[in-house]
Amino acid sequence: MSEKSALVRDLEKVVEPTHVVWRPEDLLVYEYDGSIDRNNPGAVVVPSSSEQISEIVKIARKHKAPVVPRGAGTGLSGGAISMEGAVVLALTRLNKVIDIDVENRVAVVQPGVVNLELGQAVAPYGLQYVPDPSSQSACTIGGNVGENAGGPHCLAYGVTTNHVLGIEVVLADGTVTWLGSEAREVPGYDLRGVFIGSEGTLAVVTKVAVRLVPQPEAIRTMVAAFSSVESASETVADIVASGVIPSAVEMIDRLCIEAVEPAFHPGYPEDAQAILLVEVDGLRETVAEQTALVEKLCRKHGTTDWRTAEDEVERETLWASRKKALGALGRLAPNYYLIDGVIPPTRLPETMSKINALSDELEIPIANVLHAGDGNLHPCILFDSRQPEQVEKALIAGGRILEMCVEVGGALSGEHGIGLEKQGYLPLVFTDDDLEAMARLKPAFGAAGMFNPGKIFPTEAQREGIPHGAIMQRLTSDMVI
Amino acid sequence: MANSYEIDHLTPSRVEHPTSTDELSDTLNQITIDGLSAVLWGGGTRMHVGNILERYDVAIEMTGLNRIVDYRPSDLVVVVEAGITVSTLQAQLGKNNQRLPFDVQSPDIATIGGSLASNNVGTLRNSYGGIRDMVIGMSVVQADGTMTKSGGSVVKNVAGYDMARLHIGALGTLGAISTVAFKIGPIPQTMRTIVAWFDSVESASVAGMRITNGPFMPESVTVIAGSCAAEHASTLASQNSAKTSKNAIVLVIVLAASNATLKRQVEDTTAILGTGIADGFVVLDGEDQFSSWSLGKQPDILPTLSIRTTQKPTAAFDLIRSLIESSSDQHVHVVGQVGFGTVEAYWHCDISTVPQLIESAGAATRKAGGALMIERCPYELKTNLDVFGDIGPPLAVMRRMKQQFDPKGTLSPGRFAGSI
Repeated sequence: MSEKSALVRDLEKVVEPTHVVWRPEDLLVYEYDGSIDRNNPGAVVVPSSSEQISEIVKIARKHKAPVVPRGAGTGLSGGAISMEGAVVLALTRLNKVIDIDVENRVAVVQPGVVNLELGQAVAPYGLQYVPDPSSQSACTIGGNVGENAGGPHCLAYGVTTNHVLGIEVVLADGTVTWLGSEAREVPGYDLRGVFIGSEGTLAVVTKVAVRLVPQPEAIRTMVAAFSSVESASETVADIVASGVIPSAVEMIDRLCIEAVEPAFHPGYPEDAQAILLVEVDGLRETVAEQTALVEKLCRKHGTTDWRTAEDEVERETLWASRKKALGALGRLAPNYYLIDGVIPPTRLPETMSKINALSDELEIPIANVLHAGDGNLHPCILFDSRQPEQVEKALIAGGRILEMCVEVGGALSGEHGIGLEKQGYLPLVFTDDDLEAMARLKPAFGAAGMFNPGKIFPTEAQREGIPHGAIMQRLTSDMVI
Repeated sequence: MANSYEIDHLTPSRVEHPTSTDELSDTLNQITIDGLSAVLWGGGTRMHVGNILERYDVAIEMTGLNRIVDYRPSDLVVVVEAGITVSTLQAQLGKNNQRLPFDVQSPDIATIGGSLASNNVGTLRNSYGGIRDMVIGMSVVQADGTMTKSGGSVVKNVAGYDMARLHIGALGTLGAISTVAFKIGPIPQTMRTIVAWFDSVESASVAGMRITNGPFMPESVTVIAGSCAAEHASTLASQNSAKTSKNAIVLVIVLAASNATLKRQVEDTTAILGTGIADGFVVLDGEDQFSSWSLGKQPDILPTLSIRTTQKPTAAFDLIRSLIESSSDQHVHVVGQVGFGTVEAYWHCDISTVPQLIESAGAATRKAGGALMIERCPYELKTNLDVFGDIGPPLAVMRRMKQQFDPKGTLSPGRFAGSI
């Protein structure tokens, strides 16, 4: 029979006892996020205000317990998984849109507001919030800030950091303060800028001021089928090089098509090896010009089928087949390991070939769904988590793909973050000096060891060349049921 | 100005001229070991920004680091050394019909590193955001000479902390920017400039907000107030047989797009202006556009006092009205980026009036919910104030940031907010 710790008793003085989770069987719900990793938290607390969060942070500090902020837990790099017995601060009850300033196109929201619900709240005013991660029907704005989330429509309009003006945070000493504001700039160091994408390691987000933009006058969604991934990739490279920047250029490959076609019926040609989903938006005149150019480039590279969405219903279907592709992969394998590497768009054709070759070499299926326009790959390695050898193979394949990205001048993560998943790979890109400089942000924010410990930075073992040993250990301890 | 390396009556005892990141690293390392202080000097166009230095031993002339390190037009990426001038970079990109969507006051002199460090303002921020939104990677030499990098050279990257942000607007107080990777874009096919003039800030506000909140974002929408604006309006009005008022407010709207899209943009914009809200407007083409562009820049003669504020766009117009009213007897030139909410004001005035102008501008900015920074003011006054204003609780974090990255106070000590 487990007993409440002194920490839990103190937390229950700040929030209702029903909002403190501490029994081991209850904590299991919070042991995982959208990644393949998992670990149990020390406790979970679900506050409803900035003031409560400030008190909770002070209590945690008194008990020397680190704090892990958590949104919807849809993150794909283990960012919301608690290490070192940390207290998880679940922000889902802070879910209010506080203010929408239509004329100045700014909204202030609490961190637990779901991305899609923010979009729905501002839509009646003819406005939109651009970053649209595929998990947008569940993921929260606070989590988006933590991971500097992207999405298909970030190609033309930028990622979260380009759309967040200010953040109210609770610092490690309980101070509640704004970094940035509702205006576009404030004097002083850009603390807002370094904070976004810091994966919950520097402070807790309690409010976010986001920039809104008008909904486009016209949108055209195009689908082009190709008989090879390479020709689709060459088309993407040509579109980017043309200088026309569509709002989205997405690609899915044969394996992915096999999963989404029966799930969503988007009507992709049966023999297609790759599908490009290209969207342009803006004034009617702009859309007409860009559609013609994209069509020309698709035909130049031998598209076997090119069409545009006839109406909003078809457009929604096409986007559902892209944004919910990951869920559909369950038709192919019990688990997937989603990689988030980035490469220069001109290197797409050769890199996609190498990923296919890797799949053959390791005899493990890899379905590809990618934000092709900005070179953001999302290879999904399909496996069965009940088979330890498949887990290891998936982790090895993931590492090899990240190495491929770095070899062509790319990056380890485009939008999912480093978290637990990729910390072992950071030394591929960054020197000890680079990482040491980054690590200084924690004491600068007064947050050394206080928030989300064990994330981003490689462990000693990982620095010595064992990138995923710890993950294997955590996963295999009880995975074969 | 550029060769004396003087800042606020202080001159360095020597000037270093590194020509590579390695040399910059060695230079900074030695300066820190010697317990000296150093100022990074780019084009020298923005050295008046910041508080008075506590110490100033060495100037590090950065223009020797002026190479384009990597340029991949098809990936829309360029990597440059910090000392390259803005115009040199733009000229190279222009050969491929590309550009960094960023404009500065003196592009032939201003360097990329200096523009980043001083978060220089351009009219293009209206549609493309600030220069910070274009940076995708950065290498920095720390105060002790350690070379570090963050980001990379692909347009999307969240691996590790976004350290570049810290150095943008830091006035070189946390490290020396040595190379920068930018996301670049195409040069628009054609441009038109529409200049409109109004008899009140209110009318300009209604038109400006309607244009920036419309279905497309113009390349820039700049509001200009003060005697220069009124003169410009008067000239245009007489050329076009239109009316104007003594205190005319001007909007300069730059449209840039393909031919078909531009035609539509001009139609939409002139439809708004043609409702009688403006006293008059003209649509300019080719070189005729240039004189109105220069109206939105800092005056050629150095002002006695200049400020920069940022607030919400609608509040920016309220602020402009206050600035004009409180400067009734003084020569003032006010320039605002409508969609962005930035307002800059330049006064040519008697020094004795400056304290009152600062006080009233500060009060008006607070009322507008914005933040004010004094960019230029007489030395005698600068010794007694913090030009950054009141930063609030984040100042404590900023102090610790300086302590972490430059514990010996090598880099421009005293120049930043709170005399960091």
